[in-house]
Amino acid sequence: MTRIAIDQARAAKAKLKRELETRGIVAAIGLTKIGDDYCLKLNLRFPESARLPDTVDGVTVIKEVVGPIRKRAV
Amino acid sequence: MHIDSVRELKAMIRESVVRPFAETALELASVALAARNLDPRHGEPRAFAVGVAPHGRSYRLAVRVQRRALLHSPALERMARLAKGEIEVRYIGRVAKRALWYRSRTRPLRIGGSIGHHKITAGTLGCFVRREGGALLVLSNNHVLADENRARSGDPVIQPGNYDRGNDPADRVALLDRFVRMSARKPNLVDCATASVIEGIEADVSKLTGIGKLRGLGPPVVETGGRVHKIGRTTGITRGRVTAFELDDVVVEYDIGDLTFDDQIEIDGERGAFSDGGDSGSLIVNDAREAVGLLFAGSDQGGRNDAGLTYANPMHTVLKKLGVDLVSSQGDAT
Repeated sequence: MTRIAIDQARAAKAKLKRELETRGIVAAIGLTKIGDDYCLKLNLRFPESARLPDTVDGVTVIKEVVGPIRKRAV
Repeated sequence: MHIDSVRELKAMIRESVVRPFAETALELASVALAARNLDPRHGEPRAFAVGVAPHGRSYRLAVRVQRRALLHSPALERMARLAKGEIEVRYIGRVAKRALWYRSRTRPLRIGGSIGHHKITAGTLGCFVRREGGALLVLSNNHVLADENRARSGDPVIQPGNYDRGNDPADRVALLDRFVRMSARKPNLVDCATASVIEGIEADVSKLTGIGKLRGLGPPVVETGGRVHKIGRTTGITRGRVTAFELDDVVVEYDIGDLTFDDQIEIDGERGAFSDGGDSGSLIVNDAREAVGLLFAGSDQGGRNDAGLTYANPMHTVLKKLGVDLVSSQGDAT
């Protein structure tokens, strides 16, 4: 099985960003790792019932509901 | 239980068991102790805290009990029934307010202490930097030192911050130097600002109280799992792990509106949340005590313990945008 390199994950991130840019559910899209493989981290503002991709061009997408993100002010 | 099931259960228990219990207890307290301060921040009776606890490869409901008498209460029995026994109960007793150095006046100035523009509540003093040949500068967030773009160069910065009973001019320690303006129209990379330390105010530029000595600038974060540490005005020393990097489209709620950030770092706390409100501006260091990030935002959900995730600007970008170098030894500071 071929390892997923960081540049492959970066390209997949750009594609996923384009696909989701009109959806107001995204709290962040970034890179993470599972073992030696780079993969995508998709943070969501709220649970999404519509289908979101599990992979993008072979790169795994990890989804997590994180809610709203706020400045860390008192 | 699956983590999402525990999160749902936690939300339901907070609404249906913990909140009604606290409200009833507060009403009873107000009858019995009429002179008591009923400001909700001070008057809420000690009761339960609920959360999520890892249990092997699964999760279960975590309940922390602040009064021994409640260990055998109907409210706790109801929580156990709702969780079908998948519950971890611990007695933690009174959580008392302590005189914490990082919320107090500290001279010399220390990394991790309370600080802020004189018109804001309080944030955290990240570290010290300087421009070539220039004066010693404090580094923190724009929203801590420059009031979200609203401040002017030369405005007073006080230590401790307003929220920690700091006053201007008695506690004035620095004057706003520069900030990177945050934009609502395009993605931002940083939330940062500098303030020049007033002559005669001493600074301990390298001491990471309780962690060790700051050893300089670390490499950019392009891996996950790396252990990190911070000292912040609200939660003090916390430790965590990098869970993601090069995060784009990070939408952050500010007073001036929602702003988007690209190329950010995500951190999950090792024990509970890595940060909370007031920790903004904290310097994040790796295990080698090298600076890797500037903390600025966080969520209340997500992460291994569902205690929320923390977001930080990469330190290399912060220094580059402000045109400054990190100061990490007293020799550099002179």
